[in-house]
Amino acid sequence: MRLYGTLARTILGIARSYSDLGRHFGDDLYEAEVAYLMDREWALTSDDVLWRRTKRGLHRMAHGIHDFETDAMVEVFIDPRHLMVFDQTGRAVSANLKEAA
Amino acid sequence: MTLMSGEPLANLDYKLREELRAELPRIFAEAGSIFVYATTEPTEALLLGGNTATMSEGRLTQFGPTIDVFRAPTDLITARTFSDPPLNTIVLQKHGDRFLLHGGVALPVPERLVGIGDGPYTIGFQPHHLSLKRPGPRDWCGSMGRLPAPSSA
Repeated sequence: MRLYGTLARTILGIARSYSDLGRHFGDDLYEAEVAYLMDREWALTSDDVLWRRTKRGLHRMAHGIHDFETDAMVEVFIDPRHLMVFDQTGRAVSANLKEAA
Repeated sequence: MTLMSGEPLANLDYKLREELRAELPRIFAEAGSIFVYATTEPTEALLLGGNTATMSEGRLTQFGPTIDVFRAPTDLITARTFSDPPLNTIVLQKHGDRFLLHGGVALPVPERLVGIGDGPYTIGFQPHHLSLKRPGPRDWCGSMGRLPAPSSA
């Protein structure tokens, strides 16, 4: 893989065949590479993968990579101790420190 | 004696400003007088401690110990005023023990707030209180789904 040089091993992991690479998104793009780009190269969206971290966006029409983001899930965590909640009028529903004290 | 100063560091170059930020609290403490210090920078208020009065559009929005005003603002305007970088806010619907957002995002309501009535709420949080990795086993509320780009104040 011309794109990753010696890092290609990291991406492929223990994969021995195409089916080990996870979902096929079209062209030569497989889940294993997308996972690597999200984990190591800060890719968050399909545009990051197709346009910013690789040049696949340029020939995606020709090779038919479909939008692989439609069922994407991102898990986020917010610290509840620092989560402020306000009602519709903008008044704080509960202050963060009161419960901790 | 009371000393009033309006944005005293605003026109200083960066290095001198940082030096004085460290030095001013010492001077204030030694002088033992009352200082009223106006600033547009939340960081400066936090460094000085004491009491803070937040103002927005000419109105006083809250007054109290600096750390209390910062951590527990009584309204959204105060929270936004006293937040740098800007506070992230999301409008969502509370339903039982979940905050629901379009697109299937469900955020657990912090335990202390489960009892509040269902309906629309605005949540606010600092960027460094959001994580994409689970920081602790049960301390943080997790959410599955895609969050929209956070609005900034």
